[in-house]
Amino acid sequence: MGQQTIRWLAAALCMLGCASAAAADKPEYAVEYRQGVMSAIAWNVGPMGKMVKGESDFDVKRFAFLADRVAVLVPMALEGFTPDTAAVKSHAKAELWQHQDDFKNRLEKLHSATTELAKVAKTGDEAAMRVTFGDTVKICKGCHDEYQTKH
Amino acid sequence: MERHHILVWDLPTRLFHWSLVGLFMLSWWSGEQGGTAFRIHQWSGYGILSLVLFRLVWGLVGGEYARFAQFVHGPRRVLRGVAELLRPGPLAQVGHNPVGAWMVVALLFGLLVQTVTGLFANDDIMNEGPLVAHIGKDLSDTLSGVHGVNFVIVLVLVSVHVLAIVYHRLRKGEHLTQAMITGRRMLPAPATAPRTASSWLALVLLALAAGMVTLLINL
Repeated sequence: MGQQTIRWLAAALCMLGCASAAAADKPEYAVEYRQGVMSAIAWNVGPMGKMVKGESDFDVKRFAFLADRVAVLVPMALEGFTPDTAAVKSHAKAELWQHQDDFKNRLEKLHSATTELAKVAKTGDEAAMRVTFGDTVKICKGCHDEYQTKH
Repeated sequence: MERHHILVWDLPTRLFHWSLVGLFMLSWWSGEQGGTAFRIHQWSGYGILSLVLFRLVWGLVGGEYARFAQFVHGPRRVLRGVAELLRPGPLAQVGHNPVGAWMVVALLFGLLVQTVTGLFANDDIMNEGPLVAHIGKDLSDTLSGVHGVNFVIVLVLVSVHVLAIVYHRLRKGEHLTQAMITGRRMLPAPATAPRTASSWLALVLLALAAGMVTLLINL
């Protein structure tokens, strides 16, 4: 491969790289990002829910592990709810963009709740874990009912 | 004035009605709670589905005034029913009037849609109906949406139903709630006692309905 070819290749790669970096600013990508975070949260909440519902054995260690992850993931979701994504078709209701402060408050409340859940999980107190988990998913539901549409 | 009583609502119909009221309230409450109260919501929903299936069959083989053929009529009778409803004073017919009859049909249909969509619904958090595994996430989301919208429709129907009872009490002097408790209605003239059906038959039918629902949720 000649020097010239390599130079061209490098230039082409750079252009490609620049193009995808620009694309990352698109609101569609913010929507994809937050949906990805939400899926990751669901992925981790699911097994905890099964334990709480008695559909699987209550594994305190695994519960604590999952709770830690959720506590990290929750504040990450907010970043994807940028106002420029309002026009993108998603499961977010129009109300979300009209009440952004309320939405933000709810997510912050959820963040405190999940942090608390991770803390409680480390004590290994199964009964307390159940109660805190129940309180936490109530915050999830409150926000879904308010701002998420199924269609 | 001489008073005549007639047993218009048989015991199974009355028990059906009030169990439905209880389970409806329970489903509403537990649905709003979500999360770990979902277990209650689920069982309450299975209960309602069993009751509705029972009532559909009871509407074919039950006591005289519980039968659909006795009270579901076409538009002409319904229009006459409306005119009769607007006049003060008790209604002439013994069972459901033709307008209320369609409310019975609408409520049963609404609850059927509500319970069946519930079997396929998910809350995107930690709960899902027992049949979600048989369909895709998109369809489950759509049916969850229907579950949400249809609940509002059922709630409106229930409200109209309750307001109609109040209307009957105030405008027409009829104690329909009492009739649904005791089964008896007061009539201005003597009427022939209705054909009745066995309460034991009703119990068997309810057990069959519950059995069907059990099979369904374990598919």
